[in-house]
Amino acid sequence: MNLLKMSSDWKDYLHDESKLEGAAESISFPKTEQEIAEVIAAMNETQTPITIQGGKTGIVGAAVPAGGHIMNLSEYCGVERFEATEEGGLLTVRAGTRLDNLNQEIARLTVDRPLFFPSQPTETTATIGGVAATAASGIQAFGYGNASQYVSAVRVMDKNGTITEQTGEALQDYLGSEGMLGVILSVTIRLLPVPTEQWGIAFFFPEHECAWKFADFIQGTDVASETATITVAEYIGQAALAMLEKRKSQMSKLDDIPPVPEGTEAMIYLEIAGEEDGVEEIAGVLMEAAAELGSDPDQAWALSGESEMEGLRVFRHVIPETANLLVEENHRNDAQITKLSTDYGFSKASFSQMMCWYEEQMQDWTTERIVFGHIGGSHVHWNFFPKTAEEYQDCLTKLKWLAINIRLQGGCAAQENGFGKLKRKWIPVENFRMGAMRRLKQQYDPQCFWNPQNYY
Amino acid sequence: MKNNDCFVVLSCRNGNLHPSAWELTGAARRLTKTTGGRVCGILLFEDTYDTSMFSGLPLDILYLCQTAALYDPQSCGDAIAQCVREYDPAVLLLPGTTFGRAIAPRVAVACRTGLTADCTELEWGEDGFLLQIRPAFGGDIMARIVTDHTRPQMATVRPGILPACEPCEGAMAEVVVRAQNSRSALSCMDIQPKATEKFKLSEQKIIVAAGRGVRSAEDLQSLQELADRLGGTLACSRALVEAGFLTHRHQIGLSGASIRADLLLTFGISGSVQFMAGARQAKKIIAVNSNPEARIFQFAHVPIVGDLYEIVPELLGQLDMEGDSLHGTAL
Amino acid sequence: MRIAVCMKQVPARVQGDMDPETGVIRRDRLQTTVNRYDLSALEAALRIKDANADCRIDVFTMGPERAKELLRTAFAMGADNGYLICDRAFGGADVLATSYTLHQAIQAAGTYELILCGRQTTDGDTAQVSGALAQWMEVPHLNWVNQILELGESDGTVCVETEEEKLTLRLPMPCVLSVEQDLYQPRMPILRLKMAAKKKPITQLSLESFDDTDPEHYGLRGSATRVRKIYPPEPIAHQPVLQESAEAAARHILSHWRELR
Repeated sequence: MNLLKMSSDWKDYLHDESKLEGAAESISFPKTEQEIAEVIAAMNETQTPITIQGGKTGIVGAAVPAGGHIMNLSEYCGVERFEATEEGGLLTVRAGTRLDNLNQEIARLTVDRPLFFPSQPTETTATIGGVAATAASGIQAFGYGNASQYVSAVRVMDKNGTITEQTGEALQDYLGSEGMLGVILSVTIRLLPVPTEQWGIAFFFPEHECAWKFADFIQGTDVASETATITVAEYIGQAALAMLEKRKSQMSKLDDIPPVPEGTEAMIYLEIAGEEDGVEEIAGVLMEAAAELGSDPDQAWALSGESEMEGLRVFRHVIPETANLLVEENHRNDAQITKLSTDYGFSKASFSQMMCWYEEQMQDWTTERIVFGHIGGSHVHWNFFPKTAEEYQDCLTKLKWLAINIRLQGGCAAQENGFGKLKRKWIPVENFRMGAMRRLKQQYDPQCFWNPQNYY
Repeated sequence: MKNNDCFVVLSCRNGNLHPSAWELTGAARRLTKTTGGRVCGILLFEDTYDTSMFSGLPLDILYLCQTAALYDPQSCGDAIAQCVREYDPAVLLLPGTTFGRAIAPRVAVACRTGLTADCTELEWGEDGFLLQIRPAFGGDIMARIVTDHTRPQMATVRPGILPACEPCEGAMAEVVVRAQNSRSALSCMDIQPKATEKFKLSEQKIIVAAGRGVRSAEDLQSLQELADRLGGTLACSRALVEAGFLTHRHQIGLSGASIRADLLLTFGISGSVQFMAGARQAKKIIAVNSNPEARIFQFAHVPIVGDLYEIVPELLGQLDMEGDSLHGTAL
Repeated sequence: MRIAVCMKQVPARVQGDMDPETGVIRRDRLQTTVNRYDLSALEAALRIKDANADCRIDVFTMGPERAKELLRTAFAMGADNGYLICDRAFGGADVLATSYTLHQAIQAAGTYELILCGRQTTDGDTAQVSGALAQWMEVPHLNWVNQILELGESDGTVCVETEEEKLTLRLPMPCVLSVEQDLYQPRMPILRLKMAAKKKPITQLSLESFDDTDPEHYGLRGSATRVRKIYPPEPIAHQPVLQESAEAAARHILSHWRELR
């Protein structure tokens, strides 16, 4: 066991993409279960709380330490067990395994019958432990449903070093618990067969209202085939595209992405998976519908196959990544400034209704903002970029107000990004999910040994 | 009985031999040492030639072959192919420069023989064929290739890898001029010195990268100076962009540039996953960090625990003393 | 104008992750992609076509049946015709045999004013096929083309870059041009064309289609080189962590730097 005293060497571990800045007394990078147990025992003895860290890719500060010890699990990684099943496979990996490595391992383990993990965020340096702890579902949730279906078990160590395998209802307690109930050692995930045919299509709309209508169309039941489904449906607004265009030349991974067609007000990115005929059938329906709404089929991008589609996924992912870079710049000018983004889903409102509502609410807002997110569940992320402390405070006030109103509209808060330590700045305390989480905390960890200050 | 001669194609620039001429001749000398056979050079010329630049180059024969235009691979290839077909050497080596690599495939097809691109090693195999050794798959694999039933055994050789031969004193090589009248199908409209390349971190060969260990923007100046003196480029990790010391276009990493440098020298960089995602393909990584536990030491080929504030001035001092920095003039 | 573009399907992951014991390249899923360099060649052809409506682009690819995927991608980008050069006799070809096969295929398909190739492939990495092809065709060629200034009826003007200079050269057509990756940024495949691509015919060319049907001239048998052995390169050794005086450390660093020069 190697407990390292906190020094400027480890400054990188005091923050994540939320831009909240934390503090800690010590840090460790355990490589084995034994080492994890030793760290926990040592901390338990001195009643020092532990904050668990994975890839530090979160945007709400759940892994930002609030004093005590940081246990960074990025070196506790690798595959523990793989088992092929009728429906696909079950893979047990250690919590610190990064998604990019996970996907490599899966590709290697399933050469004869290719499988994939359908529930992952586009941020590939996130760890599987972090994905489970935040129940992050990623863009394929549209076709494959939410994250909790694809985790079949977690192994957890509590503060006494006792290891338990959690399945069923208790498992659901841990998914999305943001590390507050104990340390997840390994995660057993369900893998599904890779569809025979996959297409990625980007539609560009000269008017955003038309893109919204197209999103409504996708939400409806008209687009279907017996052998294929839409698996990804993402919306990207004009300001987000413009922001990305400005940064593009400095990101090697975007070298091969041409500029989006001129005059684009919104882009909708879709993936279709299934049998070849079904995929083409859906693509045909979509092409027609999009054309009617003013999206030129001679300008829509269409790629197929895993490796070619990778480029478009990267494109989609670079949007939050670039947003984080912009937050960072503003944070530099004023340390108060953090990530400010919305994470609400509207189960009852259509995409257009939801967007119109937002537009109405924000018509007087002057702060620079972008919007992108999921068409499924009308769940978009507005990101705000205040440049001064004053503007930041003003934004917080508005976000609080928005949070209250959203509840009245039937919106559901904190769908996938979590609460961490940031969201309490504007989410009302009586929020249902927060209440449930507090009850769990009372049950599992009343002394607040794990991830202090998350949710509180 | 066929000869064991080794022919090398020489290229020159502004009245001087290109360094590859010394490297290829050296390789040919080593090869003929065990097998006998002569080492012959081929130099292409348009109108005039100057043999004085060959003084000291250990060749047995120098063939001066006339070509209609040095920028035309077709006429250059014809001239070389004619010479090679006439003398039928065992081996023909060309420089792996833009010049050599454009011509070599034409000569190979004209002679109906094999060609291996961009070799980094050449040696005789046990069965007497030339082992042409080259990296493949982006350098992840080495391949040994032979041309076992046609002549000559042809290869282009990556410049700057094989050792140059020593100049020899005394007798000058026999010179044979092969003049010919031909016309090039190409015409040259303009020649400009190559414009300074637009800055692209991903294409830099030597990179000095600074990280959180650098305390202030002013301190970067000595690292910039070091980068200049080493003939390299200054870059940084995300931490310094965050700190506002450098801009995003200098950033190596997942959200910045992916580099493929021959040498990456890092100072005060901890080696986060995000940074290494962009740095992994550097061929050699030398890391200086004061923290013995720094993650970058897991990846660095040369991990050095030390204070950059001591080591950087020392580096600049030693470059001063030895005066061998790339831009030789000491400041 | 008729333009032939030579393209190749390559493994998507080029990192040859090799088992050091057996020398076998470990492959995960057999994922393929279009050689990135060839997309620039196709883009060059498409730009010529954008500016000149009566231009036809034919794409040639040599490979197994599944290389049809590449032709469909090319259709989705705007290519007019696709030729799959596929025959068991063509397998295992080196530069000599590959370029001869391409030459025979292009000749069988028709006459072209311009033949475009990418700089190199990501798997073979030789940058030699274009020059060899031009030699078989007995036409001029240029490598390292990074600008196409003008293309007329019978000649064209292009820029090439060598280590030291940038040359502007005029050459007659027909000719072969091997273009640099940064010549143009390739466009994305387009949905409408992709939908139509499936119905587009692909012409298969086999040994029988050629003028020269002697199998000795193709594939492994027509190749002059043999790969004797592949092996992992000696990795750059990872030295143990050094803790030494600044003076010694600096000397150490400079010695590594000098090795490069």
